[in-house]
Amino acid sequence: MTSLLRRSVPSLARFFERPTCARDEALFVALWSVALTWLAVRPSGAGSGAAWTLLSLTAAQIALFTWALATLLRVLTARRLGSSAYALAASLVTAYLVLDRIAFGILHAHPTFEVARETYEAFRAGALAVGTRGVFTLVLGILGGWLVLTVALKALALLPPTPRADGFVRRAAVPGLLAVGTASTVRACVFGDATSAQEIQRAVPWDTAPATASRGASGADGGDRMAALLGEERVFALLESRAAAMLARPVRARSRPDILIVHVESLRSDMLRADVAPSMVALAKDSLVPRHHVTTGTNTGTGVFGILEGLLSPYYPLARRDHFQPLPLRLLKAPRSTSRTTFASTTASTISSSAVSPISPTRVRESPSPPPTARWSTPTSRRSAARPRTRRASTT
Amino acid sequence: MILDSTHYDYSYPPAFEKFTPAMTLDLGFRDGIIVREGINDELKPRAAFVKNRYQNSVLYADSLVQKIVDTLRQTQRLERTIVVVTGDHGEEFWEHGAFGHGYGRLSREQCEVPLVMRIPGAAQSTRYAYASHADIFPTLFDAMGLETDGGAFMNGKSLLRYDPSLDFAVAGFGVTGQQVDHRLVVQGDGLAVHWVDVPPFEVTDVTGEDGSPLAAPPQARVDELVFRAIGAKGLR
Repeated sequence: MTSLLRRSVPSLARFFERPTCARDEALFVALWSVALTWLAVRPSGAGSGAAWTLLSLTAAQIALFTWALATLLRVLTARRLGSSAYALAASLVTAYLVLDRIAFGILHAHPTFEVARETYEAFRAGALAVGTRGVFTLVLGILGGWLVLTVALKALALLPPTPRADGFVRRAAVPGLLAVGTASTVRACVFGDATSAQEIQRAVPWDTAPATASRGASGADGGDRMAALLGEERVFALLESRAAAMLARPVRARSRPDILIVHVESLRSDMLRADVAPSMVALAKDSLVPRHHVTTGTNTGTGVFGILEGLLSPYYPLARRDHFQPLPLRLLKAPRSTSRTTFASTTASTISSSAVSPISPTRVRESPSPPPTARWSTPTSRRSAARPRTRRASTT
Repeated sequence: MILDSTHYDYSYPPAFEKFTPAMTLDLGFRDGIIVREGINDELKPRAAFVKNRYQNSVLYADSLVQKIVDTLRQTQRLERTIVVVTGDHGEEFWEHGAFGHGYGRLSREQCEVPLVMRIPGAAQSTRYAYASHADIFPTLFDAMGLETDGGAFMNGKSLLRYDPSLDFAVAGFGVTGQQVDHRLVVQGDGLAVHWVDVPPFEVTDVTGEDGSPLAAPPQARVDELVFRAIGAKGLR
């Protein structure tokens, strides 16, 4: 192949045979890592103070990984690959990131044993849409990337030689990358770019690239399915990492109506009939009413969670653990909206008095005792007058 | 706003006692029966009376909803207010062996609640047959024209934009605190499929829309529903 190239296009052959020095290789890895970070990875924290930290740290990690992979390839091939090992390593890393972004959408963590195990579980469950065509495309993509990147690397070799820079790179490249990573982390933790070291740890690797497949038609798509299969924990971590960035930007709306959500406790669907709920039936006549509407969970916590968060119940325990406040309410509050939650007990007088009192936007207030103007006395209200109203934790 | 007269043990003023005979307010306590939710065989023979009490409480809550709407109308705020009325969950009266909610199985009675969403100036109907609480805020944001990608942080869909591939709804078992329960049910395509949401994602039960068990559930449709439901947990 090489001899054929030499005979037919000697200038092209000379181009590919041109030796590269450490300066060229370092420049290639650095430029490609930054470009890849910027274009494909897009670290989280956009709009927050951590954006530059995450960008530099992620780029440094990719560079380090590419360099290590290239060295391994050179050793494995007894140096036959030469400097194009850098191009192949860059192509493989790119394929991993792109694949993660368009197909998996969840493997944006270090490739650990756990990730491998979960991927295997997903593969066994038939959730990975991997076919022969996909594998062929992937291999073709890697080879094509290798060729293009080799051209880029050899183009750098056209630069005039600088022996001093070459020697400096040989000595300082790897320690330099490690220093960038360490300095970025220290800077983030010491100067408060990130809210916590955990946030950095969570965001740094190759986090944040969401599954690009749209949920929907894509409900049957590999990306989302994979995301869900590999655990709510990671999807929720992604959500949390997005929250700060989303809230940092102003959110505009076409219209700004008042929103009143009335949640009637334990209201089952067959109660929406004229003899039991005539007012709701009347309201339904000019309203949007799905034929089958389900709660997200069969108790108050998980049900209200679905209403206020727009999330399914598997995320409820995680939201509780992390004290994650409803993002939809926070977004509404951000563009100068006011949101309030009012608890009205069993008397009409309670409604008229408390409905106008603003309280914490995401807190559900439970009436500590029956209102003084209660029109009748019940065993329930007598009980609740004596102690704060608590329901059995297992059901509400 | 939360109206809780309809919560067990269902309270309402005497004037709303329309469905009779209804259990006494303490659900039989005076008769020496200790009432508890869950599998309560002692009270089961009185299911009809308990349900009457519940319906009376709904009647009362409904009157409160009317007052709210009247107040909005009188203060000329109804046409600039999106009104959403729904329940947090359903309630079972031993239809499938349990009383209350958060017990037994993910029955239609415990999972299905009404959703009445009045959006001034928007469509007054939806083509979706199946929706869930997770769809409420995506719909509100769509109606407001909020410039944000709801799919990036919510699992739900806008009920104002029909997509046949999203015409299903997922409900889960009520849990408290950080307790985890992997039982979920997805409704769609005339089916209710119950499955355990961890590998190998075992389907435990398939019923028709009315809750009646199916002798030979269509396997391909069942699998597709479960796959879609699992996918619905993802973010864009």
